[in-house]
Amino acid sequence: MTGGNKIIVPFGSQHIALPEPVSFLFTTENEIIKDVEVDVGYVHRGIEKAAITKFEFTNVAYLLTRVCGFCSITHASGYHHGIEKLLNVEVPKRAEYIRMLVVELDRIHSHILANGHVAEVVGYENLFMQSVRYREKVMEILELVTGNRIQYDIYKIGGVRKDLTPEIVEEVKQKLNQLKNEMLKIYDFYDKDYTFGLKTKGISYVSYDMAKEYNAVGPIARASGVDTDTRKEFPYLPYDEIGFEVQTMSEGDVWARNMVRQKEVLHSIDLCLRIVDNLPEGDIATKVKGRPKGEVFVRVEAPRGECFYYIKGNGSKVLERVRIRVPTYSNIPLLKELFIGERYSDAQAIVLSFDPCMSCTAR
Amino acid sequence: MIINPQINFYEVTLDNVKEKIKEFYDREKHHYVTINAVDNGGNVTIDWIFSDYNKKHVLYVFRIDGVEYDKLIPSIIDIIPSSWIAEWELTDLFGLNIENAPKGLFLKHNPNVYAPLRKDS
Amino acid sequence: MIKMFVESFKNLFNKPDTIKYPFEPSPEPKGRFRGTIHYNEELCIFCDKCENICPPGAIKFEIVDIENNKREYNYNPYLCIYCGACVDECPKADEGCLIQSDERISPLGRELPKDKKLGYLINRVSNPKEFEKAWDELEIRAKKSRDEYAKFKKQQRLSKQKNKSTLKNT
Repeated sequence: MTGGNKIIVPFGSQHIALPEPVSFLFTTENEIIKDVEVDVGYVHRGIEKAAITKFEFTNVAYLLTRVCGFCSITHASGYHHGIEKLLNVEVPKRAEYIRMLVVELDRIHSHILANGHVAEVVGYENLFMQSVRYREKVMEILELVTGNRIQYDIYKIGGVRKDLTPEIVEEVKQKLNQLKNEMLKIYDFYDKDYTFGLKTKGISYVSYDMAKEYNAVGPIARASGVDTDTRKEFPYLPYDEIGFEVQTMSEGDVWARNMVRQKEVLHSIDLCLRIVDNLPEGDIATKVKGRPKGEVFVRVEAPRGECFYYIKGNGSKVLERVRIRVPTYSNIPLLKELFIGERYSDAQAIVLSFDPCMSCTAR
Repeated sequence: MIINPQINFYEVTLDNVKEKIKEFYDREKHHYVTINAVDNGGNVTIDWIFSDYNKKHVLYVFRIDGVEYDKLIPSIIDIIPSSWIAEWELTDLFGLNIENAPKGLFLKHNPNVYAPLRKDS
Repeated sequence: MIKMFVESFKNLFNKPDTIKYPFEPSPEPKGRFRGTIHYNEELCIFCDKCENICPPGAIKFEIVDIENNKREYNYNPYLCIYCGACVDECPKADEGCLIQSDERISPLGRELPKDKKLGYLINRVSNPKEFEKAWDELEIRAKKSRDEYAKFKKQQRLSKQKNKSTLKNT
């Protein structure tokens, strides 16, 4: 209590509606939020220090993949594309198409779960349960291709570790076609439902100027009309051969961010079907020799935005510096400004529409 | 495909880094990525990294070599409002002295642990 | 909103999508499941590649007899992360020296699993509460035995050189 009408409410690191450990301190007056304090360092584990003392460059990828559970393929791809540039290794075409398939499947399952969380927190638990039921098909496809549902260790320096047989391709195509019909039904629910729109339209509006001033990344920037996507600005895999387009909307509120994610899910299912139809022949890995020396800057596209990697080697087996900057790390300053002026009961929908991933942020 | 980014390096000093970034940064064209620091023994190399919205595979890097640990480093928060989180992290983990940056974002107060990312700790 | 009511009404008559575990068994692994690592001693050539690549250090070789160079394989299934990197590196993996099977090891409970393919240390310890301490002692012993073996080889090489040079002189 700070005198007058102001009450300080913690939206703390342990909360029923919050799936990530981040802590906010709201100063409210008559249920309108006036001031915010943010604390993000709850799950700091010291990964950047461990990567330069205890691991060599051949097996530090297994540490970096386990920074996060949702976007595990992002960290693997960021590290491997950087190291392959330092060692000057050319990856065969078939391996690049298999890498693209797993990256797009990872994006589909992460977006379905993020949208389901927004629906659950708004009060629409029925829609959450329906979308998670259809998400099981994507997890079964991933288990067929890589062997695991979440932590797919499929990247290797020089290619991929496992190959696609014709039986697996048949089953993947069948399941993806079923999934597409179900996702079109769910897209209708998010688009036209009246009660869902009452709770999400017009809340926490982000204009085009504000998104560019705070340098937002990911679906949050695309929902305000900014045409930015790392797959177009920094191509690290052959996306232009299978026809990739950036999806944007212009309303800029919680509803628009949901719709951008739904559009990306439908577009990614199309991309996966095209990849599986046009797989080139060849082998899946090349031999690697030598030790990394020099520095490299890499940008890759996670489901939540743009992820940045900096790797420096000095000719020995242990690396010298690994720096990771994840998309939620860039969006937290924008999140802090958006709360002011909103009602306290809408705070959950705002936080979850940003799709935070705290284990990446405070690695 | 091997990625082949085109990186433009600019050498700056501690006194003129703020003016150079101010005259370079254009909100419509450039995108701020992050701030990075590398430890070389007794001193630190600091990078300010930007990229471009319209061109492919282009990065702009402002670099200072050989900064001592206790020199005052200017903060660019009035040009780019979302840079406070990177500056607070670097003061915590490297023990640098960036203006208006408090300690305690990632590390709790512990007398045994000070600046863990330096090479000799 | 009416569409969601129709959908929920249809769901009343479908069968549920959940599996009533533990009354029904959990689904069987299909194809490329990443399970426990099995080892075959007759085919091994002791090249040390699996020990060097393992990220948490779950495979340790100990040199028990320095003169005859006899090594023993030890594996800790509670430290292992089941990534399969050791199987990729082994040069004799096609013939079956190191394979990743379909089995799952249950968590540390009342007894330890006993199998010849899991190495030497897990078959010697009988009390599950002492396994972690025994593994820590094994790590110290294995490192010391490698240092002593290196010293022994260096002494052998120096004495061979001395013999050669005395033979040349006479």
